[in-house]
Amino acid sequence: MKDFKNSFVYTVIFVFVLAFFFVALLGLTREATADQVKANEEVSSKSSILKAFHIPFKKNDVADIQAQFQKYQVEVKYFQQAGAGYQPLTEAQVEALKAAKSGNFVTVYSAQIDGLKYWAKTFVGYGLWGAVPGVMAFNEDLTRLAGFEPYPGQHSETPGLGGRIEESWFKDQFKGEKVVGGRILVKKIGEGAAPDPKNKDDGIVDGITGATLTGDGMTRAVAAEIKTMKLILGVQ
Amino acid sequence: MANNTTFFSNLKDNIWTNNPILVQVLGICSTLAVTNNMTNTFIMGMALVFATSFSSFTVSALRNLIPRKVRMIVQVVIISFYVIIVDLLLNAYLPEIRKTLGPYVGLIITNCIVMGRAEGFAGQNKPLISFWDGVTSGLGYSAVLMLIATIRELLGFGTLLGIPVFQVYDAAAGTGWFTPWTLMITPASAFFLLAGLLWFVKTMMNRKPSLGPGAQAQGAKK
Repeated sequence: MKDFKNSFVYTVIFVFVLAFFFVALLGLTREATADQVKANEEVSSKSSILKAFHIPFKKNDVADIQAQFQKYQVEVKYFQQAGAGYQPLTEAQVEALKAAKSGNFVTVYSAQIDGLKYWAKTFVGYGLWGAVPGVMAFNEDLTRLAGFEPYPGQHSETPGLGGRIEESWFKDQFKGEKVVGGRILVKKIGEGAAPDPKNKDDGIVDGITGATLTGDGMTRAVAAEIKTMKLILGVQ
Repeated sequence: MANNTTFFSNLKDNIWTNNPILVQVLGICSTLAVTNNMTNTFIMGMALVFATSFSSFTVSALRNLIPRKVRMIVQVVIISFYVIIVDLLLNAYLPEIRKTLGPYVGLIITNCIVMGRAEGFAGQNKPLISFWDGVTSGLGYSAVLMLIATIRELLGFGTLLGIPVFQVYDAAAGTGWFTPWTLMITPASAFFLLAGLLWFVKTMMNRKPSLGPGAQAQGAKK
């Protein structure tokens, strides 16, 4: 019996059965949690959109998030690149693209806040260590930013340094800040006096000490998104 | 050694005299990486307790069936299974924590403690005591991590479990007094703290032989 246990045949059969059994269990667990995972992702992305618009909501409360979406008439629009510009897509066309898993499309959100229209779009900027995905919000004519919301924990910036882009003091600077020369400059520390936070027309926001390159990355990200939004909306 | 293990002696062994981190110096990587936040550290510790205890139990239950030549491969399959289950459950029910812990949950598979207990204890002992050994090893690991995390979070953020304890200095508002030590947020601080803790614990164990691993040998001689 002992000899058979150490034989080639037994070893192969044992390892195969063991692996099959455990992998099957893993597959079942994944299937069982798939719906919850999808719901989590939707809550997470909707939360970031509301945060970019600076719309208050109850955290992780699906009903409240939905209520805020309705209250501020947050709508989704889709666009696809066509030549030098973008063309709008219908829901049906987007579903077709998703099903075929082909073709890129851009998702843009609009909201009505206090009688004014605002836009929001997901973006992927690049910090010091890697991609920084998030949501940016703009006013109707793209002359000012309305919000800047990197997805929490989904970047690789150093906590306490570049990671401080998640902190409210940094993000709130972008709200209402004017776009000057096609960009908002995240000012390097040490180059003159800190920008006046009350001055929303200079197109400059305060950078993070020790995180110059992350700040530069965010400057580039904002400039790129302004450019893309102008193409999408056909605004000059 | 193995056959005379009682539940209590195993607990004492794994929490103190043979602590996985402080005495065996295993599982150091995650100790350095995740301990700047107490909540994440606690979840990490519990994940390791779960993975070690259940994989030790399973390895022990199958110990008479596993072919000798592939025993470590089989152990890795079993350990991977439990760790991935933890990852899937965290992703479904605690997604924010899972995002913050990032790759370190998956890296529990490579944590020496888990494999060490499976190979060194579970393979020669019965399932129930092996399960207990996994629990106590995980608790010994978690205790050290929570201690380091308490210091790092307090000095790095001024908070404990996310609750502000030290008032952080805010120049614009003119409030607070505490300037956070950014070094405490980086893994470098964990190196220093862990080294200091190891030094302290080993000194205590050497000065009072009744506390250290030597006590077992002395006890046996009697």
